[in-house]
Amino acid sequence: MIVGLILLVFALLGTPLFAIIGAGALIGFAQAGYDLQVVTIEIYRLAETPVLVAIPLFTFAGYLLGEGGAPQRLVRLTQAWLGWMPGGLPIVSLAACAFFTAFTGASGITIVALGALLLPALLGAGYPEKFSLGMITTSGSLGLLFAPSLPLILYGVVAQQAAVGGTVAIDDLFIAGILPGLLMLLVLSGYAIYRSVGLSGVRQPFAWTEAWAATREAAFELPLPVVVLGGIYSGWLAVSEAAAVTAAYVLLVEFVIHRDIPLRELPRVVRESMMLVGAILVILGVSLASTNYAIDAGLPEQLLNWTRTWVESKATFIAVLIVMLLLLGMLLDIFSAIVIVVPIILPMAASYGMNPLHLGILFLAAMQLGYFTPPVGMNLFIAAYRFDRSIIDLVVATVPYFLLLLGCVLLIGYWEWLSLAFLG
Amino acid sequence: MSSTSKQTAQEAGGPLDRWLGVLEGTLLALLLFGMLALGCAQIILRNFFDAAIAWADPAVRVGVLWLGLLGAVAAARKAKHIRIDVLHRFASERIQAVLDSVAALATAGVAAVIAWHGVRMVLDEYTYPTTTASVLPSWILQTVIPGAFALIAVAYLVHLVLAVIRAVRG
Repeated sequence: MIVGLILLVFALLGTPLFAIIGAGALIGFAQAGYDLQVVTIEIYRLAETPVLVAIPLFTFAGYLLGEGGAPQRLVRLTQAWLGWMPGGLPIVSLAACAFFTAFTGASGITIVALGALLLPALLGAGYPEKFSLGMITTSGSLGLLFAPSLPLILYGVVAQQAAVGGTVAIDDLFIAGILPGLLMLLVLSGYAIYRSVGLSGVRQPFAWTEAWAATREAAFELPLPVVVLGGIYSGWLAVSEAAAVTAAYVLLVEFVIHRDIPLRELPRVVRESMMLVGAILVILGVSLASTNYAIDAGLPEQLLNWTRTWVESKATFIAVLIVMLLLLGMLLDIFSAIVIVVPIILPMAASYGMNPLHLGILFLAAMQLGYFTPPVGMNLFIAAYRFDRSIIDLVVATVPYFLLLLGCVLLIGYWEWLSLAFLG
Repeated sequence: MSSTSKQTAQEAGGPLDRWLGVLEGTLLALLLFGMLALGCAQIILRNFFDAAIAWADPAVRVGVLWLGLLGAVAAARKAKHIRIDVLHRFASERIQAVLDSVAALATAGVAAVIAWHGVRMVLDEYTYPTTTASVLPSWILQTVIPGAFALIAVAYLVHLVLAVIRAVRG
């Protein structure tokens, strides 16, 4: 208890979370009288997890897409096809951001790479500033539920390690995310159309020549979702193989076909993407140890019994869960939250009869809101930095979006069918 | 906590910093592209020739461990590990430097302890090998754990010194 409090203080002081979790595991095992080699042996288990290879490969592909001309091509393409609709340009932003976030793993790149193109376009087309800023900041994490986003894969990896309440296959998670992800996209698009009514001069007429030109320009990036999803669901490729194909394909497109990025930049892109991968994997590694300690000490059981005495029904559990996840999302980034919290709540959810795939989708959907809730919402700070606005401005601008997405989260939580519809 | 928000600050540094950056980039690229090539080769072999390289899958899995831990070393050098930075957002520069000193000291300590037990693990594995299935002896594959955590500890000791200097100078 005291150890936990001290670690919490250190975490709040800004100590990297891998050190906090590592210290927790070391201290726990030491008190229980174990040889502390157990911690490094657990870390070595990272080398026994086959799906993990998907994480560096997809992350690298995503970083590469963000470095080259792919964001411009994507925006031009969606604008050419959707720009004629009422609210067209905001819908363009939402669609492009969702696509891009799915591939870049919600690491904040979306705002940096796409926001800089979309915000001036929105303002230039006459959309109000507050509306536009809120939209871009919110869309920075939209698409989290679509394959092959990094948080989805990480949830699958952690849930497989925990192995309670039924198997969690990553390709099933990819399917489970489709309808909930579309729901968020549709709700925000509806809001964009509603807000565009009465704004003059914000639509651009549809032109076949532009649509054709934009499609041709993006012809090599367009097949990406097909490669990933088609490859996996046709049974041709495992998730990790789809990641290898994606990375090889993006490498080919950006360096051989488009040549947007000079070859000497390659080691830098590799290093930057692998720093994110390293930061995530080292937390995952020490968490394997701390989770093992927690299970050894019977912590999940105690927590489960405690919850059982207070929370009776599945409905109440889901409500408590959503509140807890929103609070958690305000403090922790999505990757650490998955690694630390999922092993604890999986057995709980299972005891209330909640499907682990449904839990995963709800978990990520709720954590998505954390990206733009103060005090630490990462995308608030990236947007503030990128667009030179105050944090307060952005918090105010995102309020309507927060409420809309909160509605979506509640729907995802209480309407299991949304996540499990295609999963028999 | 973000890996993208402070990109401008990271490229500032002396020749040593640049040299280490190139070294990290090259090592990471070799590992990543090696894994990529093996992965793609496996797909082609399986689908068109109904064959497989027996050691490819374990090699790729160990590759992920090495890649991840080397990436963690690179992240440590740039102080880009995921952390909660609420207090930093609202603290003066001097307080930030004090907070950074405490955090860097704690991190270096934890990383050093893990590195130490990693050395013990590698020595045990060397003396009493548990697996003999791989091409390379497993103790060699394990050396990355003490190695990486030792480098992480060193990186945070450097951050500690820099943060203390910032705190004293104000």
